[in-house]
Amino acid sequence: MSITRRQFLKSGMALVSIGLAVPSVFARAVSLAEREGGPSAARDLTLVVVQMAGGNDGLNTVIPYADASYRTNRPRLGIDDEDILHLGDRIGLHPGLAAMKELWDAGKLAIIEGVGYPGPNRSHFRSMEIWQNANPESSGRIGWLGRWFDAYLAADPHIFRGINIGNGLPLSLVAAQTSIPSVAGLQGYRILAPGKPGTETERTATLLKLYSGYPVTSPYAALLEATAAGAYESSTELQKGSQDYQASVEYPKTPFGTGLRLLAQVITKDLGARVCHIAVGGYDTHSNQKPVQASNLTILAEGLRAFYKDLEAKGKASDVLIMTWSEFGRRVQENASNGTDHGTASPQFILGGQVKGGVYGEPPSLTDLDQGDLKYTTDFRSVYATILEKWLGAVPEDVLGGGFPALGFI
Amino acid sequence: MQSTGLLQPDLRIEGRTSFYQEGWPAGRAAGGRVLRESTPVQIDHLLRRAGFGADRETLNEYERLGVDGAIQRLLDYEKVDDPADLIAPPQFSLGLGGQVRNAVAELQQWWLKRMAASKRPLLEKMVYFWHGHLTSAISKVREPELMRRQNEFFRQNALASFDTILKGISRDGAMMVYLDNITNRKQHPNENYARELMELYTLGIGNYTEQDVKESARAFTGWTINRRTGEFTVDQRQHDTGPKTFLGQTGKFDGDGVVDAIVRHPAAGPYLARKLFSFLAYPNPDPEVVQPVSDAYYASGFSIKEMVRAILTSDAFFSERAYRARVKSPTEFILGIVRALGLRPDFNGVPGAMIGMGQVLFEPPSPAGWPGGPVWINTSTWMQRMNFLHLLVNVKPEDASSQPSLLQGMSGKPAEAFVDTLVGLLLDGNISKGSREALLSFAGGRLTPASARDVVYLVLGTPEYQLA
Repeated sequence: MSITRRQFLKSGMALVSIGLAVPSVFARAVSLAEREGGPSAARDLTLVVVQMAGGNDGLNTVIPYADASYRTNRPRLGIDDEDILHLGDRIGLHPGLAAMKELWDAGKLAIIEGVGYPGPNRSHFRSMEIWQNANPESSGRIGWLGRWFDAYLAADPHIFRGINIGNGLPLSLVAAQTSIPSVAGLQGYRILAPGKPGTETERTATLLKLYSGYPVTSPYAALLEATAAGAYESSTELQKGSQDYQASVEYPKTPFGTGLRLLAQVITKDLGARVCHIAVGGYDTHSNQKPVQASNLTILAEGLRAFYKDLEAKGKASDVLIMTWSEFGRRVQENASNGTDHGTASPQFILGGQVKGGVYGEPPSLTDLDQGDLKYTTDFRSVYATILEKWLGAVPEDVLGGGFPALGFI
Repeated sequence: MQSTGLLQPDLRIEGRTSFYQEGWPAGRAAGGRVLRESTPVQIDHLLRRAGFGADRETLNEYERLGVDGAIQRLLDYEKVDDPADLIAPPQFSLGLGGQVRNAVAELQQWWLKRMAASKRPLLEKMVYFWHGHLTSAISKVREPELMRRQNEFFRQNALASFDTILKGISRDGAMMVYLDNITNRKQHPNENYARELMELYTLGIGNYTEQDVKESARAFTGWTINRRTGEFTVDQRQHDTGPKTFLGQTGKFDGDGVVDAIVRHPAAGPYLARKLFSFLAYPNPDPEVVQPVSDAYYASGFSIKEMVRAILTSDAFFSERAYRARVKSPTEFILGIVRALGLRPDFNGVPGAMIGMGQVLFEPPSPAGWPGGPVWINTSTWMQRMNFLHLLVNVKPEDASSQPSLLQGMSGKPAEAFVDTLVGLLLDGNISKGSREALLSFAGGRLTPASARDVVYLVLGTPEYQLA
């Protein structure tokens, strides 16, 4: 007889007794639990991944204003010196990032310069895929965080061990053995049924039965069964504690702000969230870049400041690490449409109570270019490796397949 | 791309499929043999793929034609009068500014009504294919009128030659705004359209170089639109007339020259064949089943109609592996219900419901369209599908036109016959014994108005119904 997906998920170790092959990483997870973890490898630390979709222009985000080539390449798009929020005497933040500057001043913000990867791909889709499965040579459908879930959290019973804000699950969170809930908004996140809200009806019970009994030999069986069960469990759990959440700050009234507020709720209610994902878009600025990027960076910065302050007030700031990423930066030289075309390396922000604020990595050269684009100085997998090892308590090689030098931001 | 010396295969537990396994688990497709063995099931399958499903009367009508006759009827759609043509398209002026939002809702409802009413199932299905393939998004285009024209262009050329379609879309106002060709000028070429044209629309990564992108961008310089009329025009001062070297040929190409080279490229046929086959038949096809479709492309002078014919008449299309091998998109899910149950809704609330299911028509998430497949199903989108069904069966009496008529007069009738009728109409009469038992046990002996509604909800909510 075959065991059902749910039974399997509920008892990760059961697979040993029914004689399935156990990938070595499972054994690793067990030994790692017994290993002496670093100071921050505790169980309840949370990673929040913020995707800046579209390819953010890194040069106008963390601005190398002291480099004369910046002005030559950006005659119209360059940010005026007096508007730049200076961080020391070499670089400064875009004025739209004023809210992030506060976090920098508090020592909670790290910037990693020139992050990219070898053989850069200028396609949004391919480059996003590379960042999300952390594997430039394969287009596998499992994400880097999905591999971490599979290797280390397969037996974790929390339905919200991972959560995505939005309608679609990003590749980075796609796991082979777990279905991570995607929540577009709290309001609609429940299964409507006849009768009183909150009471499970016979109809809903029958619906779930149609999914748990869907033969495992049918198409999309694992996905459909786990999604239905996951939807039921996660909505029940989320609705339970949702009415009484009081944010300690006012969140910006943007979809990004609202999404972050929901994440703060999941994190502070101790629903077991280890990885959260949220995206903010509009960075593909081929034309009319100045106002568009300014507005997008403001949405990002004001959202993250509110989120951090809220977590801080709730005593959770030291349990949360926030990482931004974008699939690529943009061409060094501006184009004729007051915009910039697809490029390569760009900076990443790391934010959190345990972050060692400062600048990491090496500044990419603005003159030694590859087809008009920056040569990366830090491989993004070094950033992942750092987070996996120092924050998520993993052996980075298990997830990344190879070793990458850790950075010092945690 | 240089080697980074890494890589481990995706983790798999032996004997189990990954969540994101597409279609049938390896070696298990024999469970789809019902498709090979039953003509009625073949007709249902055909109308789900080469259309958006159909009511009992229409299914019977196509069944009488036989499978070959049905395919013929679908392909030669110009021979069928289409009541969808009576649905007046909305008229928009250019430069709507702040009124775009309402206009988009109007546009979406118009197309949904067309798809629901059309007697040319394959035509609207192909418009839907092109909308997701040669795609543009209203949030960037900002002109509903241009989006409407693009939609009509796809309708006029749904099965035309790829050459015609590409030359047309390269002149399409919405496309030129969407991928920035309107700012593609001689001194500073904008590569956006040129890149996506090859990467996403025709050849795929690996079949062209960065230099080809730069050269073809030059060929499209000066191709723009008249801002007042939205019509195509060439700004000769901005067009680079110099020689370009593109895909190995040198000449003073313009955009049409680029398209001419692309459609003849050895990668163009297989790339489009694979995309069309995956859309109509099943994902991740083997090269052997794609090859005849690609051959039809070259042999017919790039005819889309001949490619579709090659797919629909292939053994692979009616093979076990094709059965229920695609996840329905929200559009397919909703229209499948509307058409099968013969509803005539005004679609007012539908675009809103579709946002939650992850699809906004005229607003694909990226130039690659909707990724589709298993990506359609996650906890949030699945819940929105179920909640849509809840609202559908609990529709207020004053909205009786969107009330399923098969619910009328069912009270007091035997539940079992009702369950079997629904399963017959909506699921090819094909669900597991356990599921049928669960439905019967829920429905009880005789129907009440409430239990009849809930049975409709449950049948449309089954895992099987989420698949096409």
